[in-house]
Amino acid sequence: MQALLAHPNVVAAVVALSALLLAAAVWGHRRLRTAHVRQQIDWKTVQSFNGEYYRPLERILGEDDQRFLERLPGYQPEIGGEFRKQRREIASRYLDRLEREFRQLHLLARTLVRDLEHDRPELAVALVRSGAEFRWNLWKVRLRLTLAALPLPVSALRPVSPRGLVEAAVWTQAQIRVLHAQAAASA
Amino acid sequence: MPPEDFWNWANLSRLLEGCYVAVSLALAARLLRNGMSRRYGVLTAFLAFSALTLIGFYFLPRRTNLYAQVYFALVPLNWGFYFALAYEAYRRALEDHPGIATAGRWVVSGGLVLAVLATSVTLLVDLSAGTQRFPVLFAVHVAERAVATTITLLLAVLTGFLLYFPVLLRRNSLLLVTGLTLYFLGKALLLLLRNLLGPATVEVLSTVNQGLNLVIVSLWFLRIAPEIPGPGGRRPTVPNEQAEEMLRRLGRLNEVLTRGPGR
Repeated sequence: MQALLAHPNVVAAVVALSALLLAAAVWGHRRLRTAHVRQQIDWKTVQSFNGEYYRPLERILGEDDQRFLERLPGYQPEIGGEFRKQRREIASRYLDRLEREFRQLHLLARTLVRDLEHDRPELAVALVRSGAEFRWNLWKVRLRLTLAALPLPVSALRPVSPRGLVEAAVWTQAQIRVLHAQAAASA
Repeated sequence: MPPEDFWNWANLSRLLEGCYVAVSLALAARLLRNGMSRRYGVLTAFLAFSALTLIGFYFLPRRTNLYAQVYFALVPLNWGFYFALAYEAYRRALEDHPGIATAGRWVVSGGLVLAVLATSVTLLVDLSAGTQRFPVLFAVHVAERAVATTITLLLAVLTGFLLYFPVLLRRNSLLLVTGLTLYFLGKALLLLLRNLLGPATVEVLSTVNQGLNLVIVSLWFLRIAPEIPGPGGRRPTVPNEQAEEMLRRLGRLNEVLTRGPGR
């Protein structure tokens, strides 16, 4: 015991690490135990998804309207600032909804792949990839929006397109349709 | 009443060892009796093996060459059991889900490579402790810490995969995955402390390790129960009426989408 007490810093560090990892293990256990609750799919969201709904997002995030506004007589920087602020808020709401819908679609697709009777590794990997790409693209768009709110020369940044986000959701929806048709046929 | 000087680390360790042996053998016997050893063969064998090993060591004179030879001879066998236990946890976790079987294998294989690489980096911490009084024993403990850490990380990767899809585990499989994670996590951290602070800490740390092992085996003993045959964790994904309606709507939407973008 003396040997342990002689190195209180090392012992404290390992105990803290143990507590952290133990908490992570308990969290993992609880999540696995309640997976059936968390996988409740919001059918309303899944059914109501429509890729067309997000078509305006590209325009909202684009620069064309801003440039058009700047060319109008009587344009003032304050008007442009207010216009951009409103656009950011609208885009943010679109992105929140898209994220919510994609999460439900992706959860359903993962659940359907999980329950397949036949091994489909390429589809499982494609789902993982589409999920990762969606999150990466969403992060890029959100970062661009955040930076645009700051007094920085963001116009120098490359504009980001939301097309990849919507395409990922539409692709996931198509996979759900195919997977569910297969499941219905084999039932 | 035990004498006052009975409560020292050595005796406490012996007491915990005795309890561990009793619970492990009882659990192994129960798994064999109710036929669960067919599904949890490695676990049953490991419980019996570890209990019998402890009984064997009890009768061997400590601090002798024979004790050391037997100990070192059993080390690789133990490690083999560790990996086999992790493999059994993976097999049991994914047995009801053929759709993601290969993907699971890829993830676990990739996870193993990553776990080995990550563990190799963390070994620098152990090796920073410098030379110790028993260099061979120290080397074995460093290697054992590497094995335990690798398996902990591997089980963490497996848990991440199960959460992602999300796989519904049978109760026994969930207990096995969690119990093994705690078992190897505890072992890895206690060995890390031992490697950093030297052999003088062995008595205390080995007692803590015995206590942890006893808790895990007791948990398994109390909670692992015979399973209902058939597909375990699976639930119907889509309720029928909702599914039909959803399919109709998705069909209509896809028709619109394939016609091209509307303005």
